[in-house]
Amino acid sequence: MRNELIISDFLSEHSIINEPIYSIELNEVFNQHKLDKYLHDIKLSFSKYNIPTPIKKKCYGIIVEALENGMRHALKLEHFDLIYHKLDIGADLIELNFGNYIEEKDIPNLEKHISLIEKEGYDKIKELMYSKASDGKPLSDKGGAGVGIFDMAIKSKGNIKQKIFEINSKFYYFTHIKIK
Amino acid sequence: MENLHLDSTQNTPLINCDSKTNIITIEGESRPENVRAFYSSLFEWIDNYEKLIYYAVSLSSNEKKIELNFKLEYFNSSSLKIFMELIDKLQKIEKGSDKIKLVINWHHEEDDEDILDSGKEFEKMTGARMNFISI
Repeated sequence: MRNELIISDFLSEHSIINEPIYSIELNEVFNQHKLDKYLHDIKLSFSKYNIPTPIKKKCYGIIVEALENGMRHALKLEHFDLIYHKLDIGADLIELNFGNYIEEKDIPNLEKHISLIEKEGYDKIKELMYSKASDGKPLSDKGGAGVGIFDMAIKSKGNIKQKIFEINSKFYYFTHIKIK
Repeated sequence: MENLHLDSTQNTPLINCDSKTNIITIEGESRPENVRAFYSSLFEWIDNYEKLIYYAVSLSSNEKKIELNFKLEYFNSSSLKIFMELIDKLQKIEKGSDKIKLVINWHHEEDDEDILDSGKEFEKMTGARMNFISI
């Protein structure tokens, strides 16, 4: 599978955890029920390891935002609606990976956000997020505030790599995050 | 006027609105599947409460304090936008009368830097007076 190769290449380029003490990898269609169940399981998994509460909470928040974004924006086309997620807990680092196909029309806005995150510092991203959240505009048709990606960048303190791949004329959006 | 009480679920917070004590509390985790729909009952309650509190202050020389308590474990970015709207709505009510004062209490776990930081950003963006309470 082409997309599996691309995911694997991207992961090997960015991942530095060789022997995780805990790892989970999913590639499936998510809905609210599945998200709730997964988050419940994640809380239980986190409680088994000696991870400081702020780190656990950051990871939890990032997982929620990324999977909710995936549920809202993943391509609604059979076989292309899967959401990829991998969580690796290392000795002194946690890595989070997310990927899904997206609609071509969403790319310009997404690229704008990715570019802002790459260019701007932590304080500016935070300012952008809260300004956008308080702009008085309604939530999007899909129910999002359009700031989830900024929230993930803030929680990861900028340790976020994002890329849009073109695979057979479809577009795959991948995010890799490190939490220390 | 009836109070509003919604029990918490895995993805929605407890909501308690009491028109006698003038205390509104949001407690728990906020990541509803449909954020707007979930919080519509709270906004409807505030619409009705607004009329009640203006009527109450018109009959009395005493000041009324509206207390908004956030006791959040986690909230998603859609909820963030709704909370901004909520604070804005209550600030407008406060500005409508010299006898109404809005007090916002932002509770946070001692080591939860993200929730505390979010509260500080709310304070900066809305200009509201906020008390930060470590629990």
